[in-house]
Amino acid sequence: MKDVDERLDLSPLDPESRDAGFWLRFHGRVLEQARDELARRRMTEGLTVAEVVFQWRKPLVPLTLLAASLAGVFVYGHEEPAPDLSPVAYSEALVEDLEGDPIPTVLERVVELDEGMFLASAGGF
Amino acid sequence: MVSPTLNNPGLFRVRRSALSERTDGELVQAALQGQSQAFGILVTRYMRPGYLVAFSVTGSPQDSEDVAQEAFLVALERLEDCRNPEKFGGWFLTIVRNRARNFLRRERLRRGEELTPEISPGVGGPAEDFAKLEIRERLEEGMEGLSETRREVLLLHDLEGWKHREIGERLGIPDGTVRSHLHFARKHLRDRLGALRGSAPEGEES
Repeated sequence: MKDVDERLDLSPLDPESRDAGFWLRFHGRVLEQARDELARRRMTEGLTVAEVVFQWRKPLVPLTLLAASLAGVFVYGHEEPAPDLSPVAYSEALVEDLEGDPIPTVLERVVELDEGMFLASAGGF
Repeated sequence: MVSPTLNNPGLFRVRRSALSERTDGELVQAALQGQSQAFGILVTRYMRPGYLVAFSVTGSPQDSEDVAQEAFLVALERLEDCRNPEKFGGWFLTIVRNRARNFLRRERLRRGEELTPEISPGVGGPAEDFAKLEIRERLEEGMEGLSETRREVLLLHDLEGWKHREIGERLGIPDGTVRSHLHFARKHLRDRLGALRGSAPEGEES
């Protein structure tokens, strides 16, 4: 055929003409770099929702446990200490933050009053 | 002296039967599912055409290698965008061409100069003898002045061994235009080679 007869020999432009392993290495490099993408495609191809969830079970369990642990630490770490219920503490709690003298002090002051003055002020006995 | 115009059926023509009888469409579907073997066959089938198309644009063997390699990875990542898997070849070569053009633009910006795609001599290995190197350099020089499309047509036909119809389908141009490009590209190259050899050129490219 005329077309074939007119063909030019361009083989020196082929990299293989000066490097016999060129295309083999080229092919290997491309496949090596494509490995991750091909693996991703294999993994995602044809998965149902249940399979996706099933695949996530391994990271999901420790993540859930970790989240629960962190929540526990957060809640219990900020809890107020339990009140001291001893009788002394209870009486102190009654007068805490009160302005002026507490009632027992007033009573004590009354006891210290002169009895006559008290009676006079109370009605003149 | 070894003539660069020897008749040659294409040393690097892809032997499809030796690779696989599976069509591009079947291989693309398999590659979409992550089948390495299918993608490997596509790489084998299109690595040379990809390189040659990149070479037609950049004119540099090293840059063409990088561009073609990257183009395969881009094609794999965007394989869902290949609307007609049976026409993977044309789609892939478009990726190669676009990436090669972008590469040239980046180079132009980097160098801050107007960069016309010229065929630059490749780096020959130690085993490459002087005669081969001389022929290759003559061919590379002879390719200068050809349009990007004519370089593609010439390389894909005379080096890769594709038929007019295959080239037309994959480059998106009619068969008649392929023949025309091929005719003028050969004529231009023969004239240039003749001029480079010091003999009288047979004519100018129209």
